[in-house]
Amino acid sequence: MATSAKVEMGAAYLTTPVTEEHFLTPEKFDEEQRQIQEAAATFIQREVLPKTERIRHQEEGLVPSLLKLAGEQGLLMIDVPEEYGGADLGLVVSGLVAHEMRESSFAVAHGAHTTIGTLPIVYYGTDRQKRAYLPKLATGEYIGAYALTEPGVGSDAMSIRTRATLSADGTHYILNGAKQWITNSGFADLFVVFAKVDDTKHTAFIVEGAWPGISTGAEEKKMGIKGSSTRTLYLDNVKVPVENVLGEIGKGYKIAFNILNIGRLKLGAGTAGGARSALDMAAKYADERKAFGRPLHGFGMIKKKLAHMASDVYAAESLVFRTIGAVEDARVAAGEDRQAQLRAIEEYAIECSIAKVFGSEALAHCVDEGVQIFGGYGFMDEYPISWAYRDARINRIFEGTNEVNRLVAAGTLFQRAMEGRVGLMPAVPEIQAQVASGTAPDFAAADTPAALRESVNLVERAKRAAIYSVMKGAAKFMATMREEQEFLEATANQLITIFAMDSAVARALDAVRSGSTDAHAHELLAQLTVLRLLPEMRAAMEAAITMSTTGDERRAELAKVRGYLGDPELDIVPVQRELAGIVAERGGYPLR
Amino acid sequence: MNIVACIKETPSTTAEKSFGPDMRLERRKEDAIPNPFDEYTIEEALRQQEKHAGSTVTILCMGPATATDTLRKALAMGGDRAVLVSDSALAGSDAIGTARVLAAALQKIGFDLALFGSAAADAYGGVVPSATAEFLGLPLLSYASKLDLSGDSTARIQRAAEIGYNEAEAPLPALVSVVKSINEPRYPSMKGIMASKKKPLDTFSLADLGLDPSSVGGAAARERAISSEKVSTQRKGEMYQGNEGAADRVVAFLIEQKVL
Ligand SMILES: Cc1cc2nc3c(=O)[nH]c(=O)nc-3n(C[C@H](O)[C@H](O)[C@H](O)COP(=O)(O)OP(=O)(O)OC[C@H]3O[C@@H](n4cnc5c(N)ncnc54)[C@H](O)[C@@H]3O)c2cc1C
Repeated sequence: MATSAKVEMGAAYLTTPVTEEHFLTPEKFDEEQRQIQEAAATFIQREVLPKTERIRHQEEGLVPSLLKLAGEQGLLMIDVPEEYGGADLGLVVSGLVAHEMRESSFAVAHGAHTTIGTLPIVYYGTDRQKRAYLPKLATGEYIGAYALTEPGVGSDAMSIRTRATLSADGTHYILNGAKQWITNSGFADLFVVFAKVDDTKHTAFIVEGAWPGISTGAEEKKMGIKGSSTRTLYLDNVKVPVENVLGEIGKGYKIAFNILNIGRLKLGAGTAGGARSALDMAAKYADERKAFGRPLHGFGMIKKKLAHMASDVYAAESLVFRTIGAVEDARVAAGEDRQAQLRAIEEYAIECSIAKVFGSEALAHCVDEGVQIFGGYGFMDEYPISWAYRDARINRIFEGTNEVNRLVAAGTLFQRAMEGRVGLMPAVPEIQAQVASGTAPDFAAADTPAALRESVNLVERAKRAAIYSVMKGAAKFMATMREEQEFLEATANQLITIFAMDSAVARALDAVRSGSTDAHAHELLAQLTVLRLLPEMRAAMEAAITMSTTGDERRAELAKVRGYLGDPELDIVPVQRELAGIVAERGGYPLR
Repeated sequence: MNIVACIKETPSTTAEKSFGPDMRLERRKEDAIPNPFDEYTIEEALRQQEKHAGSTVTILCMGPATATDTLRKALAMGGDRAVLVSDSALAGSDAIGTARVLAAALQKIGFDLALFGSAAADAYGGVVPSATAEFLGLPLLSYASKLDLSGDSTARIQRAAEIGYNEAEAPLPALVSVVKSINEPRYPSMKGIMASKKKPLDTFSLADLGLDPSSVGGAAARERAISSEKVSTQRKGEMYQGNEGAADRVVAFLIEQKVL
């Protein structure tokens, strides 16, 4: 199902004007998507959240039974093709379902099963493998898991040491090694295991949990996400039939990396949903709790927190669903061939990494401020916000740490710039002229709603200032780029903040132009996103310039880009106050 | 056994309500949902179907042409097919007009058991089930809090009374209206939603039912809404504070309210 008329190219947001035209927003979900979203929300509300206490205590068998119930209701079959017992509803729906998992740590068990446990087989499995495993994964008869990390190897996934040796008769590989922190391992029936054939060829295998030689260690004692089982998986001379090699021998890393793009995007959706739950909890509490004779949301500093949380959620949802829409369009346009689909998804590697980083950091901010609004109660076990706080932390670590994802985003940008796949170089002369003259044209189209004109201009100037600073550094660091992580981080931070601002503003433009009854809330949310993220973008830009210049040149360059980027006229306090008023009145995130 | 669940499309209970100059509720497509009371109607139909192998469940609705969406939502809970009776001449029908149409539709569909909710969340008239039974000349077992079908020939219900309950029975085919305590409605699962897209949904016009347009709709309506006022939702509360006697006053209040 195509979601927009024209496919937006990866990283194109940097070099094309803000526009709402070509992308998916939460306001554009169709009836079926909304219904399934509601079904997922109801499932969580009725079946999972009431059992939170038991989930936290890791009651034996509870989470697997909930996964099976989710399977009965269809919530595990979304990405599985119809011919293998699935519903094949596409990434928009699976993103929406991930989004509705909200504050439940069941989300991690569900996500590991449906994404990294199932998708490798969907995308790389042979027909025989798909027939054998997908129908079972789609119903929850089999629970899936993904085993890449090892005690000595995390981010550096190419260096795994688990070995796969072909048996003398050539019918089996013998697997030996240990995989650490494997989600769902306590009850999984199927593991996608990465190992090296002949110590060099990185290869994926489908391994059944019941096979001899498979065992798991003790349940890890974790800070949070008790709804997922996390253990070490031991492989002791496990005989894996050669038919269970997944993909090509020596190409396992491709599976690992390509599936991660989808995993990151879905984690972006899940963390955005979690952030929204944190805001909903905090907004209710800020209404009920009184101090000095008024509800907490009567205080300016609490208003600021609530408004900032709302803008976090807004920006996260905007960029995540924009990316999901673009990725899904590209995937569908690529036709039936799964490898072509993955290449199409890879086009959006930068956006997928941003979705993961921005979503997990927005969530981190929201749970932190959420606890703060609850005061001492927020520190108490009985209050769900304290668990949201604990559960949130892992999201900046798994599916590629946020450091690794920043490296992916910036590294991919430079690689593409060199290949001419993003129009950075061609844009440079005009930008240099603008920056040198210190004046920018009015970027807002004539029909831009008045409330968003300044936001549009700031975002457009930010894009140009970012390209300017990044290309300046690139010229200096090109040969040693890999070793210039601080510069790559400054680049990534500009990519992230700009994508967030651009997505938020474009969504608000769409809401206003389409006459939404919530148009004003959209305007406030987009304005606040820009007012908050512009200083972050500016700091990253200045850091990039500072790193690549010295002395007089540095002073002159900084003065130029600062002057070019300029400052907002709009005052942040009234925006925050009005937005917080809407949050208080609606008892949570203002958009439903 | 053929079971028909009659449902109405109503605006969502949380939607902002407004009225036209003739005091008719302005209905917006975006706010339309199956009448919340009818979730119990559908649930009961599905439970009876589960108990009586080989039964079919049809969901019947009289409403605007756009009510197909509402019927799909209802079909997401379950059921085999849906029938929408829709005709421009039906606009403005009163309860009797509605009953006339439902009776004709039920006759055309053919049924052993027709289930109704006890009222609709938008109008609360509660007349339609009995008027439909009257048009059909069939028994109505009203306000059922429990329903048993013995064999394929008799319906027996319990109706909650102030103390205990009454029992009543009627031979099939019969109409039964249900109250909320009869069951706990299921929620539509993703699978149900997917399945609902493929279920047959027929639309009948007045001509299909052989009804004369002048016998239904606004023209024939003899019941009219005259005015509507917003109720203030401000609740009265009493606060007892401090140590002095607050507990005693709470106890006294509870005794007065016959809670204790
Ligand atoms: C609860 C939980 C569940 C998990 N589930 C699974 C699972 O189901 N399957 C699975 O395979 N794995 C799983 N993992 C493992 C997870 O993916 C890894 O923890 C993650 O990839 C990071 O690896 P590491 O912990 O070894 O950290 P390291 O790679 O040792 O990193 C430590 C720190 O160094 C930074 N760092 C590392 N390399 C670089 C670099 N090149 N440049 C800059 N900074 C760098 C990191 O960002 C991090 O801050 C899980 C982990 C946890 C905690």
